[in-house]
Amino acid sequence: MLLADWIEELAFLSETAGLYPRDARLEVGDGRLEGTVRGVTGDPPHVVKAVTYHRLALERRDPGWHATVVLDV
Amino acid sequence: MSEPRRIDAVTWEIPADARADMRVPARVFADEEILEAILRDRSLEQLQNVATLPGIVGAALAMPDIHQGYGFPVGGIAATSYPDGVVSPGGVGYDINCGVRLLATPFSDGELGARREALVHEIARRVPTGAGRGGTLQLKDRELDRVLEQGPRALVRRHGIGTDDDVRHTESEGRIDGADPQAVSKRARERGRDQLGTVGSGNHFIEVQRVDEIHDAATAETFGLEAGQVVVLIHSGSRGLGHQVCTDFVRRMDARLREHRIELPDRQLSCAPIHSADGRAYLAAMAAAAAFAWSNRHAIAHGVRDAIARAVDGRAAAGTRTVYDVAHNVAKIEEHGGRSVCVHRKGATRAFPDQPVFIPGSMGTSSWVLAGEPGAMEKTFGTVCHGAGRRLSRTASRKLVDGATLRRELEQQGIVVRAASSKGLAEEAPLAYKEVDAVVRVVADAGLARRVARLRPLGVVKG
Repeated sequence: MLLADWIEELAFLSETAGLYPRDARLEVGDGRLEGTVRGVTGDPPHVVKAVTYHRLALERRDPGWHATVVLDV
Repeated sequence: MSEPRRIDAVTWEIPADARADMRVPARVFADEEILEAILRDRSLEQLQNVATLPGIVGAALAMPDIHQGYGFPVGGIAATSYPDGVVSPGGVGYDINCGVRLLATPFSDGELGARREALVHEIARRVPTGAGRGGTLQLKDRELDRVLEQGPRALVRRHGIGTDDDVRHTESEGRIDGADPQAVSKRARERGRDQLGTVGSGNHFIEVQRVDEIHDAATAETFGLEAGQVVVLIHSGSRGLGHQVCTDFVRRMDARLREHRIELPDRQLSCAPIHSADGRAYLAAMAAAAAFAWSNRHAIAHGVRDAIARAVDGRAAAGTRTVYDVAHNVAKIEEHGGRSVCVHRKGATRAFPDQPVFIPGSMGTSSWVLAGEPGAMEKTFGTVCHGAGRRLSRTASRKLVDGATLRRELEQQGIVVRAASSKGLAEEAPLAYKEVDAVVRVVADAGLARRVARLRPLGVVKG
Protein backbone atom coordinates (compact mmCIF):
# COMPACT_ATOMS: atom_id res chain seq x y z
CA MET A 1 0.00 0.00 0.00
CA LEU A 2 2.78 2.39 0.94
CA LEU A 3 4.62 1.44 -2.22
CA ALA A 4 1.50 2.02 -4.33
CA ASP A 5 1.10 5.44 -2.70
CA TRP A 6 4.74 6.22 -3.34
CA ILE A 7 4.51 5.32 -7.03
CA GLU A 8 1.33 7.36 -7.26
CA GLU A 9 3.26 10.38 -6.01
CA LEU A 10 5.72 9.86 -8.87
CA ALA A 11 2.85 9.66 -11.35
CA PHE A 12 1.44 12.90 -9.95
CA LEU A 13 4.79 14.68 -10.28
CA SER A 14 5.20 13.30 -13.77
CA GLU A 15 1.87 14.76 -14.89
CA THR A 16 1.99 18.09 -13.08
CA ALA A 17 5.74 18.86 -13.16
CA GLY A 18 6.93 16.79 -16.14
CA LEU A 19 9.21 14.60 -13.97
CA TYR A 20 10.76 11.75 -15.96
CA PRO A 21 12.13 9.36 -13.33
CA ARG A 22 15.25 7.43 -14.33
CA ASP A 23 16.40 5.77 -11.16
CA ALA A 24 14.96 5.14 -7.71
CA ARG A 25 16.20 3.72 -4.43
CA LEU A 26 13.83 2.63 -1.71
CA GLU A 27 14.29 1.93 1.94
CA VAL A 28 11.47 0.28 3.80
CA GLY A 29 11.35 0.44 7.57
CA ASP A 30 8.86 0.01 10.35
CA GLY A 31 5.66 1.32 8.75
CA ARG A 32 7.60 3.82 6.71
CA LEU A 33 9.08 4.01 3.27
CA GLU A 34 11.76 6.39 2.12
CA GLY A 35 12.81 6.76 -1.45
CA THR A 36 15.17 8.84 -3.53
CA VAL A 37 14.33 9.45 -7.15
CA ARG A 38 16.59 10.86 -9.77
CA GLY A 39 15.25 11.99 -13.08
CA VAL A 40 14.98 14.78 -15.55
CA THR A 41 12.12 17.00 -16.60
CA GLY A 42 10.63 16.37 -19.98
CA ASP A 43 8.11 14.16 -21.71
CA PRO A 44 8.13 10.68 -20.18
CA PRO A 45 7.69 7.85 -22.75
CA HIS A 46 4.82 6.43 -20.68
CA VAL A 47 2.58 8.53 -18.56
CA VAL A 48 1.26 6.59 -15.61
CA LYS A 49 -2.34 7.70 -15.23
CA ALA A 50 -3.09 5.67 -12.13
CA VAL A 51 -1.68 3.11 -9.72
CA THR A 52 -4.25 0.35 -9.28
CA TYR A 53 -4.91 -2.10 -6.41
CA HIS A 54 -5.58 -4.79 -9.00
CA ARG A 55 -3.60 -7.92 -7.99
CA LEU A 56 -1.47 -5.82 -5.67
CA ALA A 57 0.95 -8.23 -4.00
CA LEU A 58 4.11 -8.30 -1.92
CA GLU A 59 6.05 -11.50 -1.36
CA ARG A 60 9.32 -12.58 0.20
CA ARG A 61 11.80 -13.88 -2.34
CA ASP A 62 15.49 -14.46 -1.92
CA PRO A 63 17.04 -11.95 -1.86
CA GLY A 64 14.60 -9.37 -0.50
CA TRP A 65 11.00 -8.71 -1.40
CA HIS A 66 9.10 -8.82 -4.66
CA ALA A 67 6.20 -6.45 -5.28
CA THR A 68 3.56 -6.51 -8.02
CA VAL A 69 1.83 -3.23 -8.80
CA VAL A 70 -0.39 -2.84 -11.87
CA LEU A 71 -0.21 0.63 -13.41
CA ASP A 72 -2.79 2.23 -15.69
CA VAL A 73 -0.93 3.85 -18.59
CA MET B 1 -14.10 -20.94 -13.91
CA SER B 2 -17.52 -22.38 -14.88
CA GLU B 3 -18.44 -22.48 -18.54
CA PRO B 4 -21.26 -20.12 -19.50
CA ARG B 5 -24.42 -21.88 -20.62
CA ARG B 6 -26.45 -20.68 -23.56
CA ILE B 7 -29.78 -18.93 -22.86
CA ASP B 8 -30.59 -17.86 -26.44
CA ALA B 9 -28.77 -17.02 -29.69
CA VAL B 10 -26.90 -14.07 -28.16
CA THR B 11 -27.17 -14.57 -24.38
CA TRP B 12 -24.98 -16.72 -22.12
CA GLU B 13 -25.06 -17.15 -18.37
CA ILE B 14 -22.99 -18.42 -15.47
CA PRO B 15 -25.51 -19.24 -12.73
CA ALA B 16 -25.23 -17.70 -9.27
CA ASP B 17 -24.55 -21.10 -7.70
CA ALA B 18 -21.35 -21.52 -9.74
CA ARG B 19 -19.42 -19.94 -6.88
CA ALA B 20 -20.31 -19.68 -3.22
CA ASP B 21 -19.65 -15.93 -3.11
CA MET B 22 -21.79 -14.97 -6.14
CA ARG B 23 -25.07 -13.23 -5.26
CA VAL B 24 -26.51 -13.06 -8.79
CA PRO B 25 -25.77 -14.74 -12.13
CA ALA B 26 -23.15 -13.40 -14.56
CA ARG B 27 -24.72 -12.82 -17.98
CA VAL B 28 -22.97 -12.05 -21.28
CA PHE B 29 -24.34 -10.90 -24.64
CA ALA B 30 -22.28 -12.49 -27.41
CA ASP B 31 -22.38 -14.81 -30.39
CA GLU B 32 -20.26 -17.97 -30.50
CA GLU B 33 -17.26 -16.35 -32.14
CA ILE B 34 -17.21 -13.37 -29.79
CA LEU B 35 -17.66 -15.63 -26.75
CA GLU B 36 -14.64 -17.63 -27.86
CA ALA B 37 -12.59 -14.41 -27.94
CA ILE B 38 -13.98 -13.38 -24.53
CA LEU B 39 -12.97 -16.72 -23.00
CA ARG B 40 -9.33 -16.07 -23.94
CA ASP B 41 -8.84 -13.54 -21.16
CA ARG B 42 -10.04 -13.40 -17.53
CA SER B 43 -12.96 -11.07 -18.13
CA LEU B 44 -15.67 -13.63 -17.24
CA GLU B 45 -13.90 -14.48 -14.00
CA GLN B 46 -13.90 -10.74 -13.29
CA LEU B 47 -17.61 -10.60 -14.12
CA GLN B 48 -18.24 -13.35 -11.56
CA ASN B 49 -16.28 -11.27 -9.03
CA VAL B 50 -18.62 -8.35 -9.78
CA ALA B 51 -21.57 -10.69 -9.06
CA THR B 52 -20.35 -10.87 -5.42
CA LEU B 53 -20.88 -7.14 -4.71
CA PRO B 54 -23.22 -6.47 -1.77
CA GLY B 55 -26.61 -5.27 -3.00
CA ILE B 56 -26.13 -6.18 -6.67
CA VAL B 57 -29.49 -6.83 -8.34
CA GLY B 58 -30.55 -8.84 -11.40
CA ALA B 59 -27.24 -10.02 -12.81
CA ALA B 60 -23.68 -8.87 -13.41
CA LEU B 61 -23.98 -8.02 -17.11
CA ALA B 62 -21.45 -7.91 -19.91
CA MET B 63 -21.67 -6.57 -23.41
CA PRO B 64 -20.06 -8.27 -26.44
CA ASP B 65 -17.13 -5.82 -26.27
CA ILE B 66 -16.18 -7.03 -22.77
CA HIS B 67 -12.48 -7.43 -22.01
CA GLN B 68 -10.31 -7.69 -18.96
CA GLY B 69 -9.95 -4.55 -16.84
CA TYR B 70 -8.69 -3.62 -13.38
CA GLY B 71 -10.97 -5.48 -10.99
CA PHE B 72 -14.12 -4.93 -13.05
CA PRO B 73 -14.13 -5.98 -16.68
CA VAL B 74 -14.48 -3.24 -19.30
CA GLY B 75 -17.86 -3.55 -21.02
CA GLY B 76 -19.73 -4.46 -17.85
CA ILE B 77 -22.81 -3.27 -15.97
CA ALA B 78 -23.57 -3.65 -12.27
CA ALA B 79 -26.81 -2.28 -10.81
CA THR B 80 -26.87 -2.12 -7.02
CA SER B 81 -29.85 -1.49 -4.82
CA TYR B 82 -30.21 2.18 -3.82
CA PRO B 83 -29.39 3.25 -1.14
CA ASP B 84 -28.55 0.04 0.74
CA GLY B 85 -26.26 -1.50 -1.90
CA VAL B 86 -22.67 -0.48 -2.55
CA VAL B 87 -21.10 1.97 -4.95
CA SER B 88 -17.68 1.08 -6.34
CA PRO B 89 -15.26 3.54 -7.99
CA GLY B 90 -13.67 0.64 -9.90
CA GLY B 91 -17.11 -0.15 -11.34
CA VAL B 92 -16.98 3.21 -13.10
CA GLY B 93 -13.28 3.10 -13.93
CA TYR B 94 -10.39 5.52 -13.76
CA ASP B 95 -11.48 7.65 -16.68
CA ILE B 96 -14.76 8.88 -15.19
CA ASN B 97 -17.21 9.77 -17.96
CA CYS B 98 -14.94 8.72 -20.73
CA GLY B 99 -17.40 9.11 -23.58
CA VAL B 100 -18.19 10.09 -27.13
CA ARG B 101 -19.63 13.19 -28.78
CA LEU B 102 -20.75 13.28 -32.40
CA LEU B 103 -20.80 16.56 -34.32
CA ALA B 104 -22.71 16.85 -37.61
CA THR B 105 -21.36 19.37 -40.11
CA PRO B 106 -23.57 21.01 -42.75
CA PHE B 107 -21.36 19.80 -45.64
CA SER B 108 -20.80 16.53 -47.49
CA ASP B 109 -17.62 14.62 -48.18
CA GLY B 110 -17.87 15.78 -51.83
CA GLU B 111 -18.18 19.43 -50.76
CA LEU B 112 -15.21 19.10 -48.40
CA GLY B 113 -13.17 17.62 -51.24
CA ALA B 114 -9.45 18.34 -51.14
CA ARG B 115 -9.82 20.43 -47.97
CA ARG B 116 -10.06 17.19 -46.00
CA GLU B 117 -6.35 17.12 -45.20
CA ALA B 118 -6.38 20.78 -44.16
CA LEU B 119 -9.33 20.08 -41.82
CA VAL B 120 -7.57 17.18 -40.08
CA HIS B 121 -4.42 19.25 -39.83
CA GLU B 122 -6.29 22.24 -38.31
CA ILE B 123 -7.99 20.00 -35.74
CA ALA B 124 -4.58 18.59 -34.75
CA ARG B 125 -3.25 22.15 -34.38
CA ARG B 126 -6.18 23.45 -32.36
CA VAL B 127 -6.91 20.56 -30.04
CA PRO B 128 -3.98 19.37 -27.90
CA THR B 129 -3.49 15.58 -27.91
CA GLY B 130 -1.12 13.23 -26.12
CA ALA B 131 -0.33 12.61 -22.49
CA GLY B 132 -0.10 15.33 -19.88
CA ARG B 133 -0.67 19.00 -20.30
CA GLY B 134 -1.30 21.72 -22.79
CA GLY B 135 -4.89 23.02 -22.67
CA THR B 136 -5.44 26.59 -23.80
CA LEU B 137 -8.09 27.19 -21.16
CA GLN B 138 -6.62 28.13 -17.79
CA LEU B 139 -9.31 28.09 -15.12
CA LYS B 140 -9.17 29.92 -11.83
CA ASP B 141 -10.43 28.07 -8.74
CA ARG B 142 -13.91 29.60 -8.81
CA GLU B 143 -14.23 28.90 -12.52
CA LEU B 144 -13.16 25.29 -12.10
CA ASP B 145 -15.73 24.94 -9.28
CA ARG B 146 -18.48 26.10 -11.61
CA VAL B 147 -17.45 23.63 -14.31
CA LEU B 148 -17.37 20.78 -11.76
CA GLU B 149 -20.81 21.71 -10.51
CA GLN B 150 -22.65 22.76 -13.67
CA GLY B 151 -20.73 21.09 -16.50
CA PRO B 152 -20.65 22.58 -20.02
CA ARG B 153 -23.39 25.10 -19.25
CA ALA B 154 -20.81 27.03 -17.20
CA LEU B 155 -18.56 27.19 -20.28
CA VAL B 156 -21.39 28.57 -22.42
CA ARG B 157 -22.44 31.20 -19.88
CA ARG B 158 -19.09 32.28 -18.48
CA HIS B 159 -16.63 31.70 -21.29
CA GLY B 160 -18.70 31.89 -24.49
CA ILE B 161 -17.61 28.36 -25.42
CA GLY B 162 -20.18 26.32 -27.37
CA THR B 163 -23.93 26.84 -27.32
CA ASP B 164 -27.01 25.97 -25.23
CA ASP B 165 -28.04 23.71 -28.10
CA ASP B 166 -24.85 21.66 -27.55
CA VAL B 167 -25.76 21.30 -23.87
CA ARG B 168 -29.32 20.20 -24.67
CA HIS B 169 -27.87 17.46 -26.88
CA THR B 170 -25.70 16.05 -24.10
CA GLU B 171 -26.65 13.09 -21.88
CA SER B 172 -28.43 14.49 -18.80
CA GLU B 173 -27.45 17.97 -20.11
CA GLY B 174 -23.85 17.43 -19.08
CA ARG B 175 -24.42 17.18 -15.34
CA ILE B 176 -25.44 14.79 -12.60
CA ASP B 177 -27.36 15.91 -9.50
CA GLY B 178 -25.28 16.15 -6.36
CA ALA B 179 -21.99 17.13 -8.02
CA ASP B 180 -19.82 18.72 -5.31
CA PRO B 181 -16.51 20.42 -6.19
CA GLN B 182 -15.51 20.19 -2.51
CA ALA B 183 -15.54 16.40 -2.73
CA VAL B 184 -12.80 16.55 -5.39
CA SER B 185 -9.31 16.51 -3.85
CA LYS B 186 -6.82 19.31 -4.34
CA ARG B 187 -4.59 16.81 -6.10
CA ALA B 188 -7.32 15.93 -8.61
CA ARG B 189 -7.93 19.62 -9.28
CA GLU B 190 -4.24 20.21 -9.85
CA ARG B 191 -4.09 17.41 -12.39
CA GLY B 192 -7.16 18.62 -14.27
CA ARG B 193 -6.78 22.37 -14.01
CA ASP B 194 -5.18 22.94 -17.42
CA GLN B 195 -6.51 19.84 -19.21
CA LEU B 196 -9.91 21.10 -20.28
CA GLY B 197 -10.26 20.92 -24.06
CA THR B 198 -7.54 18.27 -24.47
CA VAL B 199 -7.88 14.76 -25.89
CA GLY B 200 -5.22 12.89 -23.89
CA SER B 201 -3.53 9.64 -24.87
CA GLY B 202 -4.42 5.94 -25.03
CA ASN B 203 -7.45 5.08 -27.13
CA HIS B 204 -8.70 8.68 -27.24
CA PHE B 205 -9.05 10.39 -30.60
CA ILE B 206 -10.94 12.76 -32.86
CA GLU B 207 -12.09 11.24 -36.13
CA VAL B 208 -13.46 13.03 -39.20
CA GLN B 209 -15.93 10.66 -40.87
CA ARG B 210 -18.57 10.45 -43.56
CA VAL B 211 -22.02 8.95 -43.12
CA ASP B 212 -21.54 5.84 -45.22
CA GLU B 213 -24.82 3.94 -44.92
CA ILE B 214 -28.21 4.83 -43.49
CA HIS B 215 -30.00 1.87 -41.89
CA ASP B 216 -32.99 3.63 -40.34
CA ALA B 217 -33.98 6.65 -42.43
CA ALA B 218 -36.60 8.05 -40.05
CA THR B 219 -34.32 7.99 -37.00
CA ALA B 220 -31.35 9.28 -39.02
CA GLU B 221 -33.50 12.25 -40.02
CA THR B 222 -34.42 12.89 -36.38
CA PHE B 223 -30.71 12.83 -35.50
CA GLY B 224 -30.01 15.19 -38.46
CA LEU B 225 -27.86 12.69 -40.37
CA GLU B 226 -27.83 11.92 -44.10
CA ALA B 227 -25.68 9.84 -46.43
CA GLY B 228 -22.43 11.49 -47.51
CA GLN B 229 -22.49 14.05 -44.68
CA VAL B 230 -19.23 14.81 -42.85
CA VAL B 231 -19.36 14.19 -39.09
CA VAL B 232 -16.74 14.44 -36.34
CA LEU B 233 -16.49 11.89 -33.51
CA ILE B 234 -14.76 12.99 -30.31
CA HIS B 235 -13.63 10.32 -27.81
CA SER B 236 -12.15 11.57 -24.53
CA GLY B 237 -12.89 11.75 -20.81
CA SER B 238 -12.07 13.50 -17.54
CA ARG B 239 -8.28 13.29 -17.98
CA GLY B 240 -6.06 13.40 -14.88
CA LEU B 241 -8.86 14.81 -12.71
CA GLY B 242 -11.09 11.76 -13.08
CA HIS B 243 -8.17 9.35 -12.64
CA GLN B 244 -7.28 11.04 -9.37
CA VAL B 245 -10.87 10.94 -8.07
CA CYS B 246 -10.96 7.19 -8.73
CA THR B 247 -7.53 6.69 -7.14
CA ASP B 248 -8.53 8.69 -4.04
CA PHE B 249 -11.73 6.74 -3.46
CA VAL B 250 -10.41 3.24 -4.23
CA ARG B 251 -7.86 3.87 -1.49
CA ARG B 252 -10.31 5.46 0.93
CA MET B 253 -12.90 2.68 0.57
CA ASP B 254 -10.24 -0.06 0.68
CA ALA B 255 -9.21 1.19 4.12
CA ARG B 256 -12.77 0.83 5.46
CA LEU B 257 -13.84 -2.49 3.97
CA ARG B 258 -13.58 -4.27 7.30
CA GLU B 259 -15.56 -1.55 9.06
CA HIS B 260 -18.32 -2.00 6.48
CA ARG B 261 -18.01 -5.81 6.77
CA ILE B 262 -17.35 -6.20 3.05
CA GLU B 263 -15.25 -9.05 1.70
CA LEU B 264 -14.05 -8.91 -1.88
CA PRO B 265 -12.22 -11.28 -4.23
CA ASP B 266 -10.12 -8.38 -5.64
CA ARG B 267 -9.12 -5.17 -3.85
CA GLN B 268 -9.76 -3.15 -6.98
CA LEU B 269 -13.50 -3.87 -6.45
CA SER B 270 -13.17 -1.65 -3.37
CA CYS B 271 -16.58 -0.20 -2.50
CA ALA B 272 -18.75 1.31 0.24
CA PRO B 273 -22.47 1.38 1.02
CA ILE B 274 -24.10 4.13 -1.05
CA HIS B 275 -25.58 5.72 2.07
CA SER B 276 -22.24 5.78 3.96
CA ALA B 277 -20.15 8.97 4.16
CA ASP B 278 -17.61 7.51 1.70
CA GLY B 279 -20.30 6.33 -0.70
CA ARG B 280 -22.00 9.72 -0.76
CA ALA B 281 -18.69 11.58 -1.10
CA TYR B 282 -17.65 9.37 -4.02
CA LEU B 283 -20.92 9.95 -5.88
CA ALA B 284 -20.53 13.73 -5.33
CA ALA B 285 -16.91 13.69 -6.57
CA MET B 286 -17.72 11.35 -9.46
CA ALA B 287 -20.57 13.63 -10.58
CA ALA B 288 -18.14 16.58 -10.53
CA ALA B 289 -15.57 14.62 -12.57
CA ALA B 290 -18.34 13.62 -15.00
CA ALA B 291 -19.26 17.30 -15.43
CA PHE B 292 -15.58 17.99 -16.11
CA ALA B 293 -15.50 15.29 -18.82
CA TRP B 294 -18.65 16.61 -20.51
CA SER B 295 -17.08 20.08 -20.39
CA ASN B 296 -13.89 18.66 -21.85
CA ARG B 297 -15.66 17.21 -24.90
CA HIS B 298 -17.69 20.43 -25.16
CA ALA B 299 -14.44 22.47 -25.25
CA ILE B 300 -12.86 20.05 -27.74
CA ALA B 301 -15.93 20.51 -29.98
CA HIS B 302 -15.31 24.26 -29.79
CA GLY B 303 -11.76 23.65 -31.05
CA VAL B 304 -13.14 21.50 -33.87
CA ARG B 305 -15.51 24.32 -34.88
CA ASP B 306 -12.51 26.68 -34.98
CA ALA B 307 -10.72 24.22 -37.23
CA ILE B 308 -13.77 24.01 -39.52
CA ALA B 309 -13.92 27.83 -39.71
CA ARG B 310 -10.29 27.86 -40.75
CA ALA B 311 -10.27 24.91 -43.17
CA VAL B 312 -13.77 25.42 -44.64
CA ASP B 313 -15.51 28.66 -43.60
CA GLY B 314 -17.31 30.40 -40.75
CA ARG B 315 -20.76 29.41 -41.93
CA ALA B 316 -19.83 25.73 -41.94
CA ALA B 317 -18.47 26.11 -38.40
CA ALA B 318 -21.64 27.83 -37.17
CA GLY B 319 -23.78 25.16 -38.83
CA THR B 320 -21.95 22.31 -37.05
CA ARG B 321 -24.30 20.80 -34.45
CA THR B 322 -23.86 18.36 -31.59
CA VAL B 323 -25.90 15.25 -32.46
CA TYR B 324 -25.43 13.90 -28.93
CA ASP B 325 -22.83 13.21 -26.25
CA VAL B 326 -22.84 9.95 -24.29
CA ALA B 327 -20.88 8.78 -21.26
CA HIS B 328 -19.55 5.25 -21.13
CA ASN B 329 -17.87 5.22 -17.69
CA VAL B 330 -20.28 6.44 -15.05
CA ALA B 331 -22.61 5.48 -12.18
CA LYS B 332 -26.12 6.91 -12.06
CA ILE B 333 -29.10 6.52 -9.78
CA GLU B 334 -32.00 5.42 -12.00
CA GLU B 335 -35.39 3.74 -11.74
CA HIS B 336 -35.57 0.26 -13.25
CA GLY B 337 -38.29 -2.32 -12.75
CA GLY B 338 -40.01 -0.16 -10.15
CA ARG B 339 -36.96 0.27 -7.91
CA SER B 340 -34.11 2.73 -7.50
CA VAL B 341 -30.72 1.35 -8.44
CA CYS B 342 -27.20 2.68 -8.83
CA VAL B 343 -26.24 1.61 -12.36
CA HIS B 344 -22.46 1.28 -12.77
CA ARG B 345 -21.53 1.39 -16.44
CA LYS B 346 -17.88 0.73 -17.14
CA GLY B 347 -17.22 0.73 -20.84
CA ALA B 348 -20.95 0.61 -21.49
CA THR B 349 -23.34 3.26 -22.82
CA ARG B 350 -26.70 4.36 -21.50
CA ALA B 351 -29.25 3.52 -24.21
CA PHE B 352 -32.74 4.67 -23.25
CA PRO B 353 -35.38 4.14 -25.95
CA ASP B 354 -34.62 6.22 -29.08
CA GLN B 355 -31.60 7.86 -27.47
CA PRO B 356 -28.58 8.19 -29.84
CA VAL B 357 -25.65 5.88 -29.03
CA PHE B 358 -22.25 5.99 -30.75
CA ILE B 359 -20.04 2.94 -31.10
CA PRO B 360 -16.56 3.84 -32.30
CA GLY B 361 -14.84 1.03 -34.19
CA SER B 362 -11.10 0.62 -34.07
CA MET B 363 -9.00 3.18 -35.90
CA GLY B 364 -9.53 3.10 -39.64
CA THR B 365 -12.65 0.92 -39.49
CA SER B 366 -16.31 1.90 -39.37
CA SER B 367 -18.17 3.34 -36.39
CA TRP B 368 -21.90 3.09 -35.72
CA VAL B 369 -24.77 5.34 -34.73
CA LEU B 370 -27.43 3.32 -32.90
CA ALA B 371 -30.65 4.17 -31.12
CA GLY B 372 -31.71 2.59 -27.82
CA GLU B 373 -34.54 0.02 -27.87
CA PRO B 374 -37.05 -0.98 -25.17
CA GLY B 375 -35.20 -4.32 -24.85
CA ALA B 376 -32.33 -2.49 -23.14
CA MET B 377 -34.71 -1.28 -20.41
CA GLU B 378 -35.94 -4.84 -19.87
CA LYS B 379 -32.61 -6.66 -20.00
CA THR B 380 -29.67 -4.35 -19.31
CA PHE B 381 -30.81 -1.42 -17.15
CA GLY B 382 -31.00 0.68 -20.33
CA THR B 383 -27.47 -0.03 -21.52
CA VAL B 384 -25.55 -1.19 -24.62
CA CYS B 385 -21.92 -1.70 -25.62
CA HIS B 386 -19.37 1.11 -26.07
CA GLY B 387 -16.96 0.01 -28.78
CA ALA B 388 -15.33 -2.86 -30.58
CA GLY B 389 -13.59 -4.16 -27.46
CA ARG B 390 -9.96 -5.19 -27.23
CA ARG B 391 -8.85 -8.57 -28.51
CA LEU B 392 -5.13 -8.01 -27.89
CA SER B 393 -3.37 -6.13 -25.10
CA ARG B 394 -1.49 -2.97 -25.99
CA THR B 395 1.83 -4.78 -25.58
CA ALA B 396 0.73 -7.66 -27.82
CA SER B 397 -0.48 -5.21 -30.43
CA ARG B 398 2.83 -3.32 -30.36
CA LYS B 399 4.72 -6.57 -30.97
CA LEU B 400 2.70 -7.31 -34.09
CA VAL B 401 2.31 -3.87 -35.58
CA ASP B 402 4.72 -1.16 -36.52
CA GLY B 403 3.23 2.32 -36.08
CA ALA B 404 4.88 3.83 -39.15
CA THR B 405 3.69 0.97 -41.41
CA LEU B 406 0.18 1.25 -40.02
CA ARG B 407 0.18 4.98 -40.70
CA ARG B 408 1.16 4.28 -44.34
CA GLU B 409 -1.55 1.63 -44.68
CA LEU B 410 -4.23 3.97 -43.32
CA GLU B 411 -3.04 6.71 -45.66
CA GLN B 412 -3.23 4.29 -48.59
CA GLN B 413 -6.90 3.80 -47.70
CA GLY B 414 -7.28 7.56 -48.05
CA ILE B 415 -7.41 8.21 -44.27
CA VAL B 416 -5.45 11.27 -43.13
CA VAL B 417 -3.53 10.50 -39.92
CA ARG B 418 -2.13 12.90 -37.32
CA ALA B 419 -0.78 11.07 -34.28
CA ALA B 420 1.24 12.27 -31.29
CA SER B 421 3.19 8.98 -31.20
CA SER B 422 3.75 6.03 -33.54
CA LYS B 423 3.81 3.69 -30.56
CA GLY B 424 0.38 4.90 -29.52
CA LEU B 425 -0.79 4.29 -33.06
CA ALA B 426 0.49 0.68 -32.99
CA GLU B 427 -1.31 0.03 -29.68
CA GLU B 428 -4.61 1.03 -31.26
CA ALA B 429 -4.17 -0.95 -34.49
CA PRO B 430 -7.41 -2.42 -35.92
CA LEU B 431 -6.19 -6.02 -35.41
CA ALA B 432 -6.05 -5.38 -31.63
CA TYR B 433 -9.84 -5.06 -31.61
CA LYS B 434 -12.86 -7.23 -32.26
CA GLU B 435 -14.89 -6.59 -35.36
CA VAL B 436 -17.21 -3.65 -34.53
CA ASP B 437 -19.88 -4.83 -37.00
CA ALA B 438 -20.10 -8.18 -35.16
CA VAL B 439 -20.39 -6.45 -31.77
CA VAL B 440 -23.19 -4.23 -33.11
CA ARG B 441 -24.96 -7.24 -34.65
CA VAL B 442 -25.17 -8.87 -31.21
CA VAL B 443 -26.70 -5.85 -29.45
CA ALA B 444 -29.16 -5.41 -32.34
CA ASP B 445 -30.11 -9.13 -32.26
CA ALA B 446 -30.53 -8.94 -28.49
CA GLY B 447 -33.03 -6.09 -29.01
CA LEU B 448 -30.96 -3.60 -27.00
CA ALA B 449 -30.46 -1.05 -29.81
CA ARG B 450 -31.14 -0.61 -33.51
CA ARG B 451 -28.71 0.40 -36.25
CA VAL B 452 -29.21 3.95 -37.55
CA ALA B 453 -26.12 4.73 -39.61
CA ARG B 454 -22.63 3.49 -40.32
CA LEU B 455 -19.74 5.95 -40.44
CA ARG B 456 -16.46 5.63 -42.35
CA PRO B 457 -13.26 7.46 -41.35
CA LEU B 458 -11.76 10.20 -43.52
CA GLY B 459 -9.12 11.34 -41.07
CA VAL B 460 -7.96 10.68 -37.54
CA VAL B 461 -6.24 12.80 -34.89
CA LYS B 462 -4.81 10.62 -32.12
CA GLY B 463 -3.16 11.14 -28.78
